[in-house]
Amino acid sequence: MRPERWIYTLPLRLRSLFRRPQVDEDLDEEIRDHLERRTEDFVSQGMSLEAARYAARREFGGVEQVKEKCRDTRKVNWIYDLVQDHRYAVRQFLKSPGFTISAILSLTLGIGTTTAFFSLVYAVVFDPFPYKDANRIVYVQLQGKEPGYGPFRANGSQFEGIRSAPSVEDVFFQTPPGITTLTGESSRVIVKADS
Amino acid sequence: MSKPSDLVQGTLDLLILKILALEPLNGYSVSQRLKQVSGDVLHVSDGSLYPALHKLEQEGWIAAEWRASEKNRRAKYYSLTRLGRKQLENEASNWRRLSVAISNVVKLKEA
Repeated sequence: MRPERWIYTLPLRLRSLFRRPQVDEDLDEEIRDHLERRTEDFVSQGMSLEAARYAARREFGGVEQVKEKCRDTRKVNWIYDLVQDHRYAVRQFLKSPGFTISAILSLTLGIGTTTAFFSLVYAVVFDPFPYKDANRIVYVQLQGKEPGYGPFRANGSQFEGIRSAPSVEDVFFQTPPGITTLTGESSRVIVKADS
Repeated sequence: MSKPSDLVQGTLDLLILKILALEPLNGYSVSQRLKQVSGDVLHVSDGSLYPALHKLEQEGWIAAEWRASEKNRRAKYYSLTRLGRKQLENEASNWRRLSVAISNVVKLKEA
């Protein structure tokens, strides 16, 4: 279905894109050939060459319009038009350098600063860790029941206790001095434990 | 006699495909053949024939090749592709269904 069609149409498309003058010339020649044959027909019917030529042209109609319609059927026209539009835009920009420079500067400043700022905020606040499931990394501290009694870091047996808790996937510890910077949601979740 | 009927674009495609199914021709010969076969009833202007030919070529239903003709000229000959043959079948069966439907309506007897 679709791929088979490309066998016929791909060479055509490529040619319409990259050998456009040749393709246009072929179109001219095709129409010219038609008119010549029609002229010959009229001549064989008894007309003079001049009259025949005129009649053939007249019967055909507007040659340029027909050629234009044929050109319109090409499917790659949009690419060609796009390229031409870009070329035109560049030419216009080069003609008024003041406008072009100020436009480029404004865009650069605007896009550059916004992107930089957003990257920073994103990295610090929204997605600080390059780890999978970063929102499930927590820093565990122990808090005594009485106010003022803590927070403490966990000691050896408490470490084991935390590790074996069912809701905990894995635990690792740092030997001091360690700098732990956790950013992101800094909501404290107080989990009560017995003993 | 009424004006030669103007063709809808879709049916022009069907006619061209069918004519080229019989043998490869160049644009001028297609035009001639249309006039011959339809007995001048179908008024296909060359101005709509050539865009139609080019459109069919762009769709991949007909393929073109340049052949040397007499008097040192080149002529562009179109032939039907395999896809074109399928398309011809589709369009022909659509046309048959359409004409049957229209005939049925036209044949209705007044009460």
